[in-house]
Amino acid sequence: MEDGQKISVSTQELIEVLAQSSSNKRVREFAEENNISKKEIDQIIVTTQETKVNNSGNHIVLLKNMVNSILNSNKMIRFENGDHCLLIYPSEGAGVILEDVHKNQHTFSQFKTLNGLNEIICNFYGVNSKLQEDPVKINIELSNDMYDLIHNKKSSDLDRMIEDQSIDSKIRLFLRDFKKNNQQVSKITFKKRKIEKNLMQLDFVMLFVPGENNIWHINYEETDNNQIFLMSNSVSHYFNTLHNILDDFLQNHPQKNKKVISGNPKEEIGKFSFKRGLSFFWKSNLLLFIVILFFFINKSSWSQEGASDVLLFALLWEAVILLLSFCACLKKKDTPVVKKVKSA
Amino acid sequence: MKGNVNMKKTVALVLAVGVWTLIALFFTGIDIPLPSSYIAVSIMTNAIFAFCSIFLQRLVITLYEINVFEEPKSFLDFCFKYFAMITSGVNYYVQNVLNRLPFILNKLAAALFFVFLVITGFSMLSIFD
Repeated sequence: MEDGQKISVSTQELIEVLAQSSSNKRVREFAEENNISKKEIDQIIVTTQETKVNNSGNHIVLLKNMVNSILNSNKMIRFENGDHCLLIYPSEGAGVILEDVHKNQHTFSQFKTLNGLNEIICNFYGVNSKLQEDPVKINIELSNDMYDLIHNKKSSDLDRMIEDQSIDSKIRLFLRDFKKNNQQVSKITFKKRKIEKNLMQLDFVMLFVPGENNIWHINYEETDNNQIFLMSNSVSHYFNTLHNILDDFLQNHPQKNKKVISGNPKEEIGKFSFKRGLSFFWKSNLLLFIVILFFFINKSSWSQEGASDVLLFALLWEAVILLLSFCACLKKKDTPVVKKVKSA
Repeated sequence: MKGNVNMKKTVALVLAVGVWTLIALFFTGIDIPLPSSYIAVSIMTNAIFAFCSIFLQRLVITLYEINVFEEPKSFLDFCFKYFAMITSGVNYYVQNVLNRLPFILNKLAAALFFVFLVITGFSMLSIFD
């Protein structure tokens, strides 16, 4: 297939293609990303057995290849802009598959490199990627409460805030862009499949608000005390950085993918490690030491056999600690890693 | 804002230690004097949690994690955090380790740990006159 050639299908056609796929779970996951309703998904699963429609049209074959490639991928990036959304998947060889979902129309295209992507993403958000200059150049600090507040305010109230001379003009500038963006922040979601048979999990999220001539990047990660930073960036700088992040995220795909397929993603952690046990050992001994210290503070009120009892107490705990430290050398069971990402 | 959080934190800590002290004071009635009775209280409450963890290990672990490791926001969150640390901290770390064992061993060890806590708790009575 040629670079950038577009295949456009309706949801119904896409469902038909999906219906011929084998893995229900993957289909379900993919369909959900495509905003296909639960009912329609069930329909896919049901029709799997029945339909063996011979869609031998050339573009259907290509589409099938791409969908299969997508179903096999372990990473995805999702861009949203209102009800319009853009999905990027790594394709099986090199390069990426782009899917543009708008209402009932799914447009697939394939790219060998990431080079053309920036333009597409910029067009998707309706910003001009050529703008080098950042006219605003400011960082704004917002409290969490304030951030929630502007999301829930009525648009007329927001208008009033924008007009209000007593508020810092830079903040008003942000509020105007924020309102223009449907009173929402735009979200780029990076998802990754950690274990082959599981669903993809959220890896991280980038939040921003596209402004007139700049991009407000929202930094919610390195903050403490419930603060959120809004950093204005020039459009080209922001999307170049995004390009690097995309590259990073997708690039190490081949090796990682292999690891996942081999079915032993945890092998590098090691089943038995004295280091883990040691850390448990010294921490628990520290606690035991403090406990014994407490006993010695009350030495005056010990009973006659007090000293030997304390010794027994300490030895018993020490034995338990040794046993537990040994268990602590084992590796942790695989529990889902919950990454904290504040909702937009 | 920052000061407010710090204040909540301090008041919650004082409250938690206060309640801990209050319960510990009851133990002076059975001849366990103050700093050591803190430990008696902790061992006993941990024993209760250890008993629950024999059956509901995952739940007890998750409960502790939510209470302690989630970023506390309100005053009550801070209170729960410190209460949980005092009453089930030891149990949490032990169950976290036991969780790595195979199922049967895990349950056996959890039961033994409960018995062990009860025994050491009562053995404190014999240390003090």
